[in-house]
Amino acid sequence: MNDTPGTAAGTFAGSPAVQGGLAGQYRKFVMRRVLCLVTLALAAVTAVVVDVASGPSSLGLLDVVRGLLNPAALDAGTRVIIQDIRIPYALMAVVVGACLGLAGAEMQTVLNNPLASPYTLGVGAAATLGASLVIVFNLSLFGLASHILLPLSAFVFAAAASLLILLLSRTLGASVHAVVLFGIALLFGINAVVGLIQFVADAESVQQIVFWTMGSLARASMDKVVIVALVLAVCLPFSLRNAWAMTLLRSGEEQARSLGVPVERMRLVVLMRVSLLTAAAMAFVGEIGFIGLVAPHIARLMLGEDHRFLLPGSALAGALLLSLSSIASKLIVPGVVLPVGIVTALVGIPLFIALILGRSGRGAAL
Amino acid sequence: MSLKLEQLTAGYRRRPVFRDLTLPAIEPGSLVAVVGPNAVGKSTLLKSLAGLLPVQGRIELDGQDLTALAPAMRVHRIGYLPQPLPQAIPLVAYETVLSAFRSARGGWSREQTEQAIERVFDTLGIRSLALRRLSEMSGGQRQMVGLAQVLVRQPQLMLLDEPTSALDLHWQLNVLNAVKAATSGTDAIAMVASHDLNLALRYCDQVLVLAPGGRAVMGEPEEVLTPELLARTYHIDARIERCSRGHPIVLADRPVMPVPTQEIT
Repeated sequence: MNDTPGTAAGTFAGSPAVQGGLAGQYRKFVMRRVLCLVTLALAAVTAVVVDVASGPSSLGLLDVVRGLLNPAALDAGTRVIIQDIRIPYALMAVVVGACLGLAGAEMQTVLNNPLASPYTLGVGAAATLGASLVIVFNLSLFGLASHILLPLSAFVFAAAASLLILLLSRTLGASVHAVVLFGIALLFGINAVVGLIQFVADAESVQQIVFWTMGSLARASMDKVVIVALVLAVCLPFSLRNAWAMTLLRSGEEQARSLGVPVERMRLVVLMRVSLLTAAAMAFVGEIGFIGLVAPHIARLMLGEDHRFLLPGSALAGALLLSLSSIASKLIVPGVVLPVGIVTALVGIPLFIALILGRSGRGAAL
Repeated sequence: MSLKLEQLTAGYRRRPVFRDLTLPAIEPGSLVAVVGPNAVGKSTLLKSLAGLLPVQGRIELDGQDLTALAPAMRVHRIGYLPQPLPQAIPLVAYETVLSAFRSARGGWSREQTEQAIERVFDTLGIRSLALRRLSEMSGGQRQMVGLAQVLVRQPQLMLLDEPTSALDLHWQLNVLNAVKAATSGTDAIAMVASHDLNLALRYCDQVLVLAPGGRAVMGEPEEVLTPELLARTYHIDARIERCSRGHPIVLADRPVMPVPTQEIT
């Protein structure tokens, strides 16, 4: 009695048939995404050049390009400004933005939550706590200088925060939603402790902590840029190696598990990587919110959810956002360089809204 | 390549949903419906076979104990469609299927991969969805993409948890035809958890009825799905009639109150 009705291969209502080979169509689709990535990269490079050109000492864009290509052609004063101040400043914005964008994308994927970011889940605040302790109590460990101990302490606290979130959620068998709630609770708890430290600290230490929490590129130097860039260079290939698994995880956790994705282990490893990226990014520039939250959404709007494109796209979007913020921080009040952490949202929100409106205007769902 | 379950116990956090479940061997090429009331353990059974829950006992596929198999090896042999639909995210259907294929069929050439994906979109009749984002699809369309993720890998054991729950009648028939085609005359076995007894009667070679208290009955649909068993299992008055084309159909007339436990002496 198993005679079955004949198969009628129809199409869903409102779905135009895809003509030609699917693989060919998909390859064209992929090419458009590669172009998007290249566009993002070019925009970031352009922003860097403009960032180098902007500042209290006005330099022509042409001089800057010439100076970047052939430093010997510049006079000594201009060369110092470009090489020792502007370039580290501009490059630091790019590498820090890239770290935060990548960390945000990975966190949103493994916690399956669009509001997750190193900043909103307390990992950034934990880094601030680590830095504050070194600043206020003038700690020293194994004879390490404070400029080494401070980022190290920031990393240890950021990693501890990630571990605590994970440990609590695993012990209580909590869902990813509970993980996010733990993270938010942790953020408030850590902010309270940082507040307490500020209350008992002397005026100079409070000033340093406030400076840290505002986020500033002012102390950028090439050796610090290299350290952050190295962390990014080490983390990015590991992130990309997980691209397929992360894409699967985003489409459905149970399906991903059944396909052999070790979800718990991946969550642990990714949260550790996020701690490293966050701590490296924040160690030298302080707390910078918004980038880790919004850069992945910008990349998602442009590139979709395929993590082969989303992960590098988020890093590039983060780099671009912070680079544009860096430019804005020099232009908002003429002659004054504002802490970049203050202007990230001012720059990011209009860009984000423009992208959303652009997609809505084309009738596409977000 | 038969499937054997012996003394299988599975559940959640030390709370077994079923204990010591032993079934007759399921032969290759079989399409098996897993039916039963809510919360009786249909999904738990499929998840435990998929390796998503810790189990005690033996699950033997083609003479090999799956419980002893490393997850990476198990992935190549089993395809599982969970009850939750793929998430409504900006991921196009083609790469949703590609991501599933890449994780379980590594080593295939690009041409083989592309051909397999194209074939599954055509088989399921969802070619028009290939380059659409999941976030722009209905629940039913996403369910079809989820099914494509399973079928594209041509697994030996397909475990489909309510694969037609979000589909209209046309697509329900399309899906069951595709699953039937993927098993009939092949070495593959499909187990489909469903609440639709009529689709089970129409399409399946065997029916496994799970009843409260860990009871299980398996056999050919018309032998197993009797009014008496339906009354015991679902607490309904039901008839098995034949339509004008001779197909058996279940007609549920009314619910009946279960006999209170204290009255059984």
